[in-house]
Amino acid sequence: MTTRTRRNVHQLPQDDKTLIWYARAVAEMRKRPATDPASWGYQAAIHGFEPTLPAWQGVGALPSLNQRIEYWNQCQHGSWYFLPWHRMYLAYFEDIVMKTVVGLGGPGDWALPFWDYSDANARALPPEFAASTFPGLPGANPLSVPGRALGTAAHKVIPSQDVKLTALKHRNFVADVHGGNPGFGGPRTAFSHGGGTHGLLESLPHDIVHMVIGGVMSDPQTAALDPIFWLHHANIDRLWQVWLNTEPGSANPDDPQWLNRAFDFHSATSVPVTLTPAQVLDTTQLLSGYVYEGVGPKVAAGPAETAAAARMEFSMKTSTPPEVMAATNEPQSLGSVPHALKLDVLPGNRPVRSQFLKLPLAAGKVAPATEAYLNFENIVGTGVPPIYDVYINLPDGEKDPSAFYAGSLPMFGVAASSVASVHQSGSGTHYVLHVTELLDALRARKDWNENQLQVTLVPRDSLPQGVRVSIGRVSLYVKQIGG
Amino acid sequence: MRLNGRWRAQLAYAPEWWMWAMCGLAWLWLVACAVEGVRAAPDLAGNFQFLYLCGSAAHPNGVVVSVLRTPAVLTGEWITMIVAMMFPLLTEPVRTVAFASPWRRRHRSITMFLSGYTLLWIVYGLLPGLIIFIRDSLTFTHAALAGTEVSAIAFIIAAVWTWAPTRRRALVACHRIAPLRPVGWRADLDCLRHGLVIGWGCLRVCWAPMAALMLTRHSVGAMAVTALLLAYERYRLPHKSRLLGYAWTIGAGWVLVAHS
Repeated sequence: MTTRTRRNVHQLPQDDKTLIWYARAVAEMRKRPATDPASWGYQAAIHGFEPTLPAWQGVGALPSLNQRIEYWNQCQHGSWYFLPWHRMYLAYFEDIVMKTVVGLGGPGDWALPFWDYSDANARALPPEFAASTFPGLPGANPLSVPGRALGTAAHKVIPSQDVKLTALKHRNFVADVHGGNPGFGGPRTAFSHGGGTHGLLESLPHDIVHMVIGGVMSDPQTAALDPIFWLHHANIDRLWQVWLNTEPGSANPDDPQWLNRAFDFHSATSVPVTLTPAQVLDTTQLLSGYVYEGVGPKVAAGPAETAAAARMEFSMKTSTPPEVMAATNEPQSLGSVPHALKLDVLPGNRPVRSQFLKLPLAAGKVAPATEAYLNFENIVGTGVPPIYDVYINLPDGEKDPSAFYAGSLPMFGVAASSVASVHQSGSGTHYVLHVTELLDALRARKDWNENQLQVTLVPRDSLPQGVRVSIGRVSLYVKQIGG
Repeated sequence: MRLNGRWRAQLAYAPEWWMWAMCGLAWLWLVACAVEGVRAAPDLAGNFQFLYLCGSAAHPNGVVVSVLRTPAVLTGEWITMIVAMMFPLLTEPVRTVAFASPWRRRHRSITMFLSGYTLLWIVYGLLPGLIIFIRDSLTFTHAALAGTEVSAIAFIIAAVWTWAPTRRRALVACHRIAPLRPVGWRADLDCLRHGLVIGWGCLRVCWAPMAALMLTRHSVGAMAVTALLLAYERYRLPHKSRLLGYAWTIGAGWVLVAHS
């Protein structure tokens, strides 16, 4: 079979039929009972399922409890399996949709498009997903779901800061130990349905785009019910390939624990199947095979790119583990107003402390260099909290806070990760922000206090009624690179 | 002698190294005790399948003789078993505790964590320890009969428990992390409490095979096999695997055959 091409949804030709066939297939799959592995509900529940949530009301008959335990609530988050698992998930979904399209009289080379929201001209929801009707189709638009925030008057486009591709600059796939660089792909874990430390690509743009779109997309237990979910994840999958092809020194893990971990799915003919990450590394060999439009082959990096990437790399052979320099002593409950907390620098740490306090962190002339990571540990709560923007040493009444912006906490999946189950430990979610350059800039200011930092969390929206969120610990880790 | 940079970095990334050293010493002590037990029964020299421990005995002329063990001795043996068999499962939580702590108190944090963890297992061990003490207080004939059936049933329970959703939930809970305060007595308390929490999860996973071992006149070999199986499950097996269920079933059969 000819390898299919997943194309950019914003660059489809005017007469292209990809989305109308997708819409028809979605409508058809929604007619199937949730006990059918090829149904819309079953496919969505593989990612996440919680029967008490309104989005799942009226789902009808469910598969057996054993089948739900083995095949539903399987998505991998906060894990080095995040990328390969979602690749497998999308591949089988695409096959099911393609088979449905063929059954409806459509082409046999249908491929899932991707949504490249990092393109400044493509940060709005594709119009085919927003319209109430779809040209050529009767009734309501199958690609439109109620409740999305993106596309409303207040949220017309995804903010540019939420689709930055800074993750692609980090060459290490696997995270450093607790507190350090979370890695492009995430930390080494066992089966991880929710919670834990989110890797760089998972945090930004994956988690934030989920939350900015809103509606069912803002909860992993309902996200895959939204047809835009699949285009979003096609883009995340594409970015994995872009990272491999463009980041000097980037490589997938060669650890057998990663390569050989098996995950269970159903094929397009509803036959139980398993896949391992080793089997999905070459997308042209995965099921029907696919490539991404606009993603060329791996190119050799120039000296400048290699040097810049080397600075971001950490090596366990020559570096020391990250060390906690400052941390809170009490959990932090967040609300609808900005929350400021003070991080006291801990006494008596290793020599890296004096370098952190006295010298520019990123100084190329001073060796060894030092990296800094702001950790938000054990984030737990109920409901869907808003995104919180994080600032360091933000002055009161500051009119342009961008100079103090450290990053954002998406809070994606916080509620689900707070509950212990057969699929997750219930420890909550952990985000890591890379703050080296920001701290370098702040240390040059007159108001820099070497013994204390202030972290301010500003919610983008009010906390809805009944929603709670708290952070177990906020901590600053510092790590020497080399030497 | 000062370690070179590479070795220092690798050691820094493995703060749990001394926990593994304790495990090694525990195994050495267990093997030494078992060998001493064989020396006490010369006709068993070299017959390592009879290197029994808890509640056990020599086999002069094929007759089982129970040795009455005091509660203090049983407790000491139990703690040694925990260090030898359970500590190897704790690499991940111990490393997380260490790296969540300031560098200068990482070993103290690990110590508090392991103390909480061990304390929970000590409390758990009181019940089977009491059963062993009562059993060993009976005549040797009664002890021999009661030990075999009870042990086999315990292994069957361990096998059935492998299929329980509660056990899978507990297995996932072994990866739980906690926000630890960084300094002072509060940091000690947090580490101790986290050890109790992880210990509780571990207990829910491993209580059945550990009880089965305690109730069995088991050899060091049986302990090693059990420890390897638990570690294999923790570090290598997919979370859905039922391999240990089959292993404990074989264990029940072994108990009946070896002690008949």
